Amino acid sequence: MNGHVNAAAIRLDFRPHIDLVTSARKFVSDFYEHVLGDADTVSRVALATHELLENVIKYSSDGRSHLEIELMETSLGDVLRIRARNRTTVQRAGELKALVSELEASTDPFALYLKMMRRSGLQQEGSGLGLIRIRAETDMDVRCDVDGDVVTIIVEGQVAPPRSTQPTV
Amino acid sequence: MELANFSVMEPGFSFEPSHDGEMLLVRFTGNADMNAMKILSSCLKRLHDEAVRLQVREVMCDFTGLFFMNSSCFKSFVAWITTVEALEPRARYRIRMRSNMQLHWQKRSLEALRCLAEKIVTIE
Repeated sequence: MNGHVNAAAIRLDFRPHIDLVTSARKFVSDFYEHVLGDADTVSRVALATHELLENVIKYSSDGRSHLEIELMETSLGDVLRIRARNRTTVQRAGELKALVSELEASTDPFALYLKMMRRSGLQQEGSGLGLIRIRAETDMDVRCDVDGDVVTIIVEGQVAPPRSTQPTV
Repeated sequence: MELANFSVMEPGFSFEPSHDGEMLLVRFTGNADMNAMKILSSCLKRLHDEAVRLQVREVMCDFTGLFFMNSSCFKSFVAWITTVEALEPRARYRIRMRSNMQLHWQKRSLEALRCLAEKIVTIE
């Protein structure tokens, strides 16, 4: 994103396991509670962080994850971007691209969410709901970049209006 | 008829059902994450069986102490609600969800569950 000021960023490089995911979510929540000061927004960031890290546990081929969360001040308002990068299999990368294309093509994320919930209720294994849940419940965009066996999921959305339009106390 | 004992008290997650007349009450506490996934799935199946056996009219899920739910656990609720929806109308029971407005994820996630089956799920 051009012309932005990086206001607050967290970068985590680690090999997540189940308990570390919860710790990471709590850390991210605490950190952005002080930065953003809005509990509802912080809860959306926490949910996205948790789901992305659990995806790493489920799908990473080497168990490692690079997670980056940036808050950027732009002329259009404060934008939060989460990037989760990991290695995976070609099959998983293909499935992920197809899923993200479906999310991007949807004009009504909540309707797609309900459709995918019904689909998921019939599945025996896995939920397949992590990314659509992020899209529908956090109101942030979900994209993905695939470069060979490296997958980066990007979650991005506006979390505050432009600072000049915010009321002053 | 008495409710079978299938409470779960794990570090980080607990599931405590009780029976009160025509209602089952289940209190969820802690974090419904990957650690709780299999337990929760099996508890909800058991809860459904008990609700049908005891012919209750309502199951109240108390989420006021549930700090977080991941998508896999969320899916277990989807599966449960879908199962209740598939019952014959006379055998169906309502699912009431008591939320904690301080836990912001709940208003979005529980609303999604309500929209999945508006005639069955209510939120308070």
